[in-house]
Amino acid sequence: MSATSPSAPRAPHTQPATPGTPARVAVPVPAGPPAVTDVLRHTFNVGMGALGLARHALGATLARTTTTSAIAPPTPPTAADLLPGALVGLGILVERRVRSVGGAAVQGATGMARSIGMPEGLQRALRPVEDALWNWNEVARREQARNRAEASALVPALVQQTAENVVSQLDFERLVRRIPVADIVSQVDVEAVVARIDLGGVIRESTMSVGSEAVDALREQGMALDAWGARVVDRVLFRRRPRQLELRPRS
Amino acid sequence: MTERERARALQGTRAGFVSRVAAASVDVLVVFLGLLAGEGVFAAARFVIGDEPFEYPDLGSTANSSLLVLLLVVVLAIAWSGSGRTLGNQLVGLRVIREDGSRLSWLRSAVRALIVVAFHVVAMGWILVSRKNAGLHDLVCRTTVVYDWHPREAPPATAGAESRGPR
Repeated sequence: MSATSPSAPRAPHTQPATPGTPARVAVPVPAGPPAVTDVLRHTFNVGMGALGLARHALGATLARTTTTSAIAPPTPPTAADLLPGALVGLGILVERRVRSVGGAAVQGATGMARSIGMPEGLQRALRPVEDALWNWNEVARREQARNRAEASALVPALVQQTAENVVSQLDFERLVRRIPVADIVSQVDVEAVVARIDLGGVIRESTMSVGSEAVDALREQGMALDAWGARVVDRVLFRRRPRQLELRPRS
Repeated sequence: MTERERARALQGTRAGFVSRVAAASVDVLVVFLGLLAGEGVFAAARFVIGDEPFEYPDLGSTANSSLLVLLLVVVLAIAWSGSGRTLGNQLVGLRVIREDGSRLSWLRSAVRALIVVAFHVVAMGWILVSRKNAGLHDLVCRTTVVYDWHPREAPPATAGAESRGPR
């Protein structure tokens, strides 16, 4: 971020101290409202970040997409069916050939240039240009990363706020009143629904479950009372060692 | 540790006084009700076949007590020599086994039942002071009573009842 950026901290406004008077305390000048250009620039940055996120999401989606090459066609295709695919394949082959030829040409030219070598003076003259290119590239990379982070933080909040605004604008009472509940209920065959529910089974199952829970609770209470009674008797008899409740292993 | 986890950890260990007395009380009640039902069936049969008025047989207190004791001994001996559980044991979750973990023979079960019915107060009261939670009948017959039930998993609090289709 450059020093001229509006979001950068501005230098505190100080008043020079006159001789014989104490120096005044520096008072920071509050930042002014963002200008139209600031808003445009911010929007552009967020848009770039959102584009980066969308590109990543699209790439991830395409990577997850399974190829259908393993699925055998139900019937053998005819020559006419193969024509579009053949054209696309031909185009891909041509593109690959052109790209490989171009790459080979560039590689050859680069090698030749390296072998020839540039004069020292020319290299020295081009060094600032190369440095500037590196710097700009680094600035672009950092800015894009920051934009992407800002967009990823902004998009969910934007979606939530939009959804809340939409929901708050809805008149639910009016919507519910417009639903023909009586017509819907009249079309439901209540007797058939009741007939499909195994009411006896539900009651039987729930009753058995409640009964089992009650019996388990009774047993647990009995075990707790057993331990309590044994503890009381052992204390009365001044016993220190606990009772031997474990069975000996079967020989 | 919750009560359920504690109960699960104590399975297979010797049961204490309260559980065993509760199981024995259920057994006595069941046998008593069975005796009442048997006498009712006898009275009904006499009413239907012998053309006599329907009334419970008046055997007297001694005969009734003896019949109750005899029935109790027979029921306990059969149950212990079989599955090792009476109805009361089943309810409380107990099982009678030998000290080595094996099941009781018919003779051992009968002797155990005789002792516990004849000397019930001493036999059961000895559980309180025994280090192994053993009653008098356990010491004589070399048996023990263990917790033997399967604590279920506690149902989730938010589980709702699902409607079931026809079966």
